[in-house]
Amino acid sequence: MYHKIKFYSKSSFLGLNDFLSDLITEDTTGIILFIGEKTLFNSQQFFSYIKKYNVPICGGIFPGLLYNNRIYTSGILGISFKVPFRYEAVHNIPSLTKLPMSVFNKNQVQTCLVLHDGLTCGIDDFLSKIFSSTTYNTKFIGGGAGRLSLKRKPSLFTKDSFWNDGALIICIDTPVGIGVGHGWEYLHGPLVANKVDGFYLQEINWEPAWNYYREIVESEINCQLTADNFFDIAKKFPLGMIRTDGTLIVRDTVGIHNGSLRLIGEVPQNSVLAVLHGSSDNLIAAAGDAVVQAYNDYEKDTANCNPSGMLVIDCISRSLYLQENTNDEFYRIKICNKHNLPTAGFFSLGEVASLGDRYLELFNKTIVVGVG
Amino acid sequence: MFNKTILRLVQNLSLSYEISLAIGQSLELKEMLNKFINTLVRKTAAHRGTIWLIQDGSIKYITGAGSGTSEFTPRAITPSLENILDEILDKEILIVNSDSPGFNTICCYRNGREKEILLMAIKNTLLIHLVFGRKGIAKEGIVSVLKSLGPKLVNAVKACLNYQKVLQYEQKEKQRLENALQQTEERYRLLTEKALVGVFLIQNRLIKYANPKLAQIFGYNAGETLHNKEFVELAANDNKPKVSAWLEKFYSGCSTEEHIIFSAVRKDGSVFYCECLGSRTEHNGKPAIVGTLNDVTIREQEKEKLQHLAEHDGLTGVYNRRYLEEILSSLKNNPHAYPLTIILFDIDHLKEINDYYGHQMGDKVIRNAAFILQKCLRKIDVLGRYGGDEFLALLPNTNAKTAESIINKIKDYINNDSKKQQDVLLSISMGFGTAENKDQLDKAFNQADSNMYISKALKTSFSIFGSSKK
Repeated sequence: MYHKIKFYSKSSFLGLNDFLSDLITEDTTGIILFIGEKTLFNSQQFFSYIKKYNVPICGGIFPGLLYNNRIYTSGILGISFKVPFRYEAVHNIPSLTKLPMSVFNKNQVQTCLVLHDGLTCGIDDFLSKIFSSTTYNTKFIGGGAGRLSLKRKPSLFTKDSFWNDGALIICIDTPVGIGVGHGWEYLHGPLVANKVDGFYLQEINWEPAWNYYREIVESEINCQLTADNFFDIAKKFPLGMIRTDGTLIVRDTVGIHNGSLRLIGEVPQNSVLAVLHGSSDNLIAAAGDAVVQAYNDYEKDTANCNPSGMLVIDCISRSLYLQENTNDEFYRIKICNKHNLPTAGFFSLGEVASLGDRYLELFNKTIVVGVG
Repeated sequence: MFNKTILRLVQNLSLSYEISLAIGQSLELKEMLNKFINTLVRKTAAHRGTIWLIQDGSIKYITGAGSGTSEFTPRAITPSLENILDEILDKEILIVNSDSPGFNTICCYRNGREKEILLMAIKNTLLIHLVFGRKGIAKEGIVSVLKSLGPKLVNAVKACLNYQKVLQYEQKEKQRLENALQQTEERYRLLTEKALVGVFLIQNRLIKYANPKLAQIFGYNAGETLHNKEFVELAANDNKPKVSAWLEKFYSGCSTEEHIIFSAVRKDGSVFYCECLGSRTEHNGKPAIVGTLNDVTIREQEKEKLQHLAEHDGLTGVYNRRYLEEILSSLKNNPHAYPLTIILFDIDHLKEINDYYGHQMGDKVIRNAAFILQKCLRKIDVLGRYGGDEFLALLPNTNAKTAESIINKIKDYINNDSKKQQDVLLSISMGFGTAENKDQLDKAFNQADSNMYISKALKTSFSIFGSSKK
């Protein structure tokens, strides 16, 4: 999958030229730059550097980065490719009526990396549009860019633009195996999300969502759940949408607003929900399972090929839950990385994954692994 | 872990409720069915789904959701589905998995992830085609939910089809009305475009519409436009206040219809008379003036000629008696005209001249007299031919003394003129009277008359008698 992976950890951009030059060779077809949110980011200076290069360069700002099994909140992770690579910038997702181009250009696209603004509305509809635009056996992997403060700022860039409320659709013609895991388990339910307004879950089982959720969580924690301790406690009790095949799509609860619960990602009205809980062990095990799944998926589809790298997209709220155990999660990933592939990745605000066999969904609190 | 029975129950309830909501959200068939199939595909985590209308043993693709459906070409799969349509209608539900021999033909297109296809006919009206990337759909409750919602879905489809018919009728009616409106518009356009008078629309004093004739009247070519030109700018400089006042009558609400004749300027600078009839109206909710404009230069010139003829003596060019009386009548009530002096002139011996030299010479003498009198009178004085050999002059603001000096001036002129004459010597008897006010006017006239006759009686060649000398 990767041609080169490099990490730039200096606090100034003075060495950026050398870093980019290291990534680029004659046959480089494109570069993705993942920037940690705590990097001292001078956009004017940054763009003056990347504009010097002829190869396509794009990327985003993320709450954290993963490089060689270490976590960084500042620095730049650069990945270059030498397989056919093209990207399309999508602006203003909330009012998008049609994808701005034939993304897949009538050609087979093996892997599609979708980087979207993790705080914008309409992601579900956007993913549905992407999914309905290809008849090929394309696998999708990706995640939400943005900052942990949840402040809406530009988070995606190309050489020409730096924007929010949009997405980058990056088509990389290389096979990939995908694994998805979360490790969360049913605690309470089933429940019906009977009133929803965008990101806000207003009613659960015909009662104000916040009241209902608080009662369930308080019965588990033996203390009061308040607006002050909400973020610390709710991260342990996400909601899960139950699909008719029994699979779970996890939804993070990140705030309270007028009796509603603020979610990362939308929940369709009348969805069947469950309150979930987890344990560090289960979450860490799920990360390992995702790696195994990704290897299996890769080997099933690509006989006699050897993967060259691993991309890990881990929900930032998993690390907030796991805290110091996050390193164990990456240790688990390392253990399961049977070919000891170079590992790179980022922490995300929402994850995207599909093996191409079902509706393309936005996940929360999930880890997505790509092997290719 | 949850109680599986309750979970399944809630899942089915939720699916059923979500689909019910989708069904009721639109009366537009494609939109309604798109919401339905979108919900179904998403809720059941299908790979894709399409929905078809069954009509007289054939099927018609309506819409789809999920992988690749935005590029979906129904032609590729329609024959295969129609081949098994009877079987689907008979069984209502057909589940085909990827191991079955006919799978590929009803799974067009394929990307290799498809594992099972659910084909379901609802009340011989709809065909639902769902493709899954997993097996075991029959156990998931989708079929039961769709079966129970079948009648509701078909009713919704019928409502949409009926609505479509109503829309089509409305569309036809709208089209008919639009055509009629278009014809009317064309008719009016033809009327204005081909009209032989200029037609205009003025708003905020600017020309918002001018027909080709109007442009032509003002000397513009077909391609040139008067659009957004100030209407008042079309007028000659000395007529602009008149045109502004005309426009103001509409804007102030004083008038709804108003007529004006003014001198206007063509593009090449030439001046002509135009007649304009405007009517107050509204255009785009704001006050406006519509009207017609015509070049009336020839008519106005003819009118001026007629007016001249009606006011002037054909032989001498001075005013005729009728017009003199009109002027006298208008001066009568003008206090600024006083003191007003009336001078009567009578050409002496005109009958003898006519008899001896002929009428041509008589006419020449009359013309010469008129010329001399006009020459000697001031610009403010009015001279007219009062009878065959009589002239009358009205001298506003003129007292007896001034009148005398003017008469002396005439006398001197005639004296000098007679020295140059070879044939007939001109002799004119004159008398004047001065009125200080309108009550003295008749008296002044009589005085002038009698003074003129006294002069005629006494003089050998010239005699002057004025009121001041009496």
